[in-house]
Amino acid sequence: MFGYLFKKIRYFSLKNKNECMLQNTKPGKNNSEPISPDLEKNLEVIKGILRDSSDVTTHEFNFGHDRKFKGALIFIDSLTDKAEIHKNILQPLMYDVLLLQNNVDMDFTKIDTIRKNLISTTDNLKVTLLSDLLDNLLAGAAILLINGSKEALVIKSEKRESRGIEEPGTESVVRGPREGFVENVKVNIALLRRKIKDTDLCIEKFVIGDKSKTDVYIVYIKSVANPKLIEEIRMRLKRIKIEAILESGYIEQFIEDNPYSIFPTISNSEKPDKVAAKILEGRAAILVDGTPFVLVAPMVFIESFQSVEDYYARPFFASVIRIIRFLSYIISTLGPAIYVALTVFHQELIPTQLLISIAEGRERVPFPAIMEAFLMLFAFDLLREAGVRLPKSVGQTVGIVGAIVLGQASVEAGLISPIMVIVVSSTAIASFAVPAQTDSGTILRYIYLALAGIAGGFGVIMGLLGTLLHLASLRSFGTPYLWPVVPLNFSGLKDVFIRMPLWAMSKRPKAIVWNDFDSNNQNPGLMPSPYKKDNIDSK
Amino acid sequence: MSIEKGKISSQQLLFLIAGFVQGSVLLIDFTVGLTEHQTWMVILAALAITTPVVLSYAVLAKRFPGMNLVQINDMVYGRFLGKVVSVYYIFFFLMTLSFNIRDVGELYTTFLMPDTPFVFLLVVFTATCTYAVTKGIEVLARISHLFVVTGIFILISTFIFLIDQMDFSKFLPFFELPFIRIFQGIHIVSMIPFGETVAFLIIMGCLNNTEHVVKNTFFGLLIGAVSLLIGAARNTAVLGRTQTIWTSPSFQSIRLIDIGTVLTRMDFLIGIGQTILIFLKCSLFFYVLVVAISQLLGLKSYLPLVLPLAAIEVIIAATVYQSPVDHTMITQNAGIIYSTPLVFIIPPLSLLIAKIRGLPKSERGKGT
Repeated sequence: MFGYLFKKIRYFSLKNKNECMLQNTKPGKNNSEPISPDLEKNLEVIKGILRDSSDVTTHEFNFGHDRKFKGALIFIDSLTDKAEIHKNILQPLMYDVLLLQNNVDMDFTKIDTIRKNLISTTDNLKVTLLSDLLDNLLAGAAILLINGSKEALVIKSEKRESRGIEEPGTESVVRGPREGFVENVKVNIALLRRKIKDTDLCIEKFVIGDKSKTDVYIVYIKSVANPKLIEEIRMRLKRIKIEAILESGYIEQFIEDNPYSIFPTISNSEKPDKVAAKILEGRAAILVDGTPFVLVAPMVFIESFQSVEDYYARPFFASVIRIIRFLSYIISTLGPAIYVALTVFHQELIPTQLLISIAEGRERVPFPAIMEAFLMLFAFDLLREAGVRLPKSVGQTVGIVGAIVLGQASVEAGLISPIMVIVVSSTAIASFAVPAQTDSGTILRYIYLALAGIAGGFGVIMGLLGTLLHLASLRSFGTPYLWPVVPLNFSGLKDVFIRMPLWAMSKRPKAIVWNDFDSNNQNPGLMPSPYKKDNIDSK
Repeated sequence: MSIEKGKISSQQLLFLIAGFVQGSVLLIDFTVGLTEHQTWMVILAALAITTPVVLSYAVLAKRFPGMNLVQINDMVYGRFLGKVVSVYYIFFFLMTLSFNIRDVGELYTTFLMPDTPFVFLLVVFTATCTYAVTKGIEVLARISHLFVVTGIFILISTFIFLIDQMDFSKFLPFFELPFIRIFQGIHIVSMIPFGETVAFLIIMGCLNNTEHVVKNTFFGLLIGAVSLLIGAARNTAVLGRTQTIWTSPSFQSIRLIDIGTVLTRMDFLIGIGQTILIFLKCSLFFYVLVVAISQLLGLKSYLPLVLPLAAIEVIIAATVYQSPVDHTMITQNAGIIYSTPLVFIIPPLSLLIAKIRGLPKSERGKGT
């Protein structure tokens, strides 16, 4: 009963908090008014709202025959392309209008007349509400207001500095396309469209963030993706109430299935070919303006061990590399824990020769093995963090000083045993082989190490069982996280520990494409074979 | 009204039963002292005797789809007597679970970590089981095949590694031991690894489809029994008569593996395998216990019971026996006697009564 009361109290306190947040983020007053026909009044209102923004430019002008029509152009200096405004808006309105033969009768107080006869840009729209006008103005459009018209014309003339398409820093490949996503979401959509030229490719737009008004797009293939998945993503995106979205990580944290898990349930990538491949499998990509990291849902655990290059290389080597990745994840999480468990609790399992050399190395070490391991792992994580944040040239120096000088010195001083240095450095190397699970791997490494220090091999086994239970209970947008191993699916296993040839994997993953899974299936018998003599003869 | 909302498929039931029976590989040592080199015979005989009984559980579950043991008891024996029978079952689950938890502690303090405090091991192990139970039966059912595959892999690999040390003449002579010892051995084996599957009468209430339940129960039992048989045959073929003098013949035989001085000290393999299989068994038993009690008390969710019961289990397990020898003696001589009616008499009797009374009647199904 007390638990029930406690829950109620917590619920009410949370509810109040939520309401406070909502009130803070409500849009400002008088924005939902319609635009008035009086130009002076409109300008006054807009200037009143944006009075502290020095980069808002207002240009008033007269145009038409006899210059009898009054107009005003409002835009934000830093966001718009002025050359385009001059060429496509001001020049037609003020000079080209005189070339029209029957301009005398034309009524330029109607926005449609101007739009159809004079404006020469394709991307423009009419608005009637002040709030729409301001939204577009702040997004970089130029606004044309005409005296006597209740409407305003929004002309998209955004100028945006964009980084060139480069090879992504986080996912470099030996073989495969070198292009990566950029910060401009329009460019990113174009990159995906170039990969998938299909009429069913859907690109749905959402605007999230009360202050940042960030564009968020869901990209999926209508005929392949599960409609329930898309509906779920839409619903979760609509539920987000936040002031600003600055990176796709914000979206990820608001829509993920299990926020208390150390394992990510939504994957991210910087590579268009990877994202396109996942969309083709029936997943949905979430693109956020302002970041090159594209989210893909649902995610399964096995994806962390797959790389795009696995599919570009021939299957044999790809399978070997994949097994190495699995081993390296095991080493990176369990390495120090197994060392501690063996040296402290189960010395009888170590072959005698090895035991002697370990004992010799540890002879002068003043710490217990668990302390030694914690110190070394901490030092490694410190070095990594320092190396990442510092400028590149300094970062290398830190690496050399830390790894070589400090490591060597501490071994020679007898603070750390040489075997421990080997264990921790191989753990460190292994942890970089599976970049998608580096976060979870680092946390698990400390947990297993603590368990091994407390209860030896028994503790490690209990930790592994706990992790397995947790992983098996996770779901990502309805897909079991450990699919296809748990629950078992034989056709899915073709792409887990080994990578079968592409012609043997013609089906889409069943857990992701729940509905009518076998349609769109390619024909069997794709296996390449040399031309038989009969075939050539018959031709 | 059933408590658990989780649903399992009947294939998952197969793996759960197989893993559950495999989890008793360690407990087969209770009989080895009695039956020596004829253990394999005892296992086969016990399988032959138990199979119809275990299949009667499956038939019972098929007759009452979506209902667990406590609900079935209430329907078959009436409100009052049914509750009494259910309390008897709950006592059995409570004690068996604590014995199994104790087994893990004994395994580690005897063979792997002799200096570690006994209670500490019990607490860590029970905490992990508690975590599994709070995740529900679905998660356990989903990962059960991993446990079974690991168990079979360890059994077969150790069998192959030991082939050069096996001497099949150690099985001879066939009928040497007095019949009363064989009979007691058969009783133990049919009670402990096979008969404890009576716990599945609770889990079978979660089945989403009871169509193939009899077939899958049988194959699950068969996989488990064959695993036990391989283990017993391996120990006898390697150790012969000497297996009675070791505390755990399995450990001793695996220690003899020595292939080119590279593959040695493989007993950690059997340690890992037995730990995870007993973990599966204990988690299932724990789940069965909490569901049975909360069903009896009419609770909406079993979660509030999990932590208190975990604490009780640890305390019982830590204090119930003086020593491993005590444990073996009492299990051999007393433990199997009080649980015999639960395994061999009540479920077939329930089936019979249900058949005579024409249960379940649709209008009665709502009351319980």
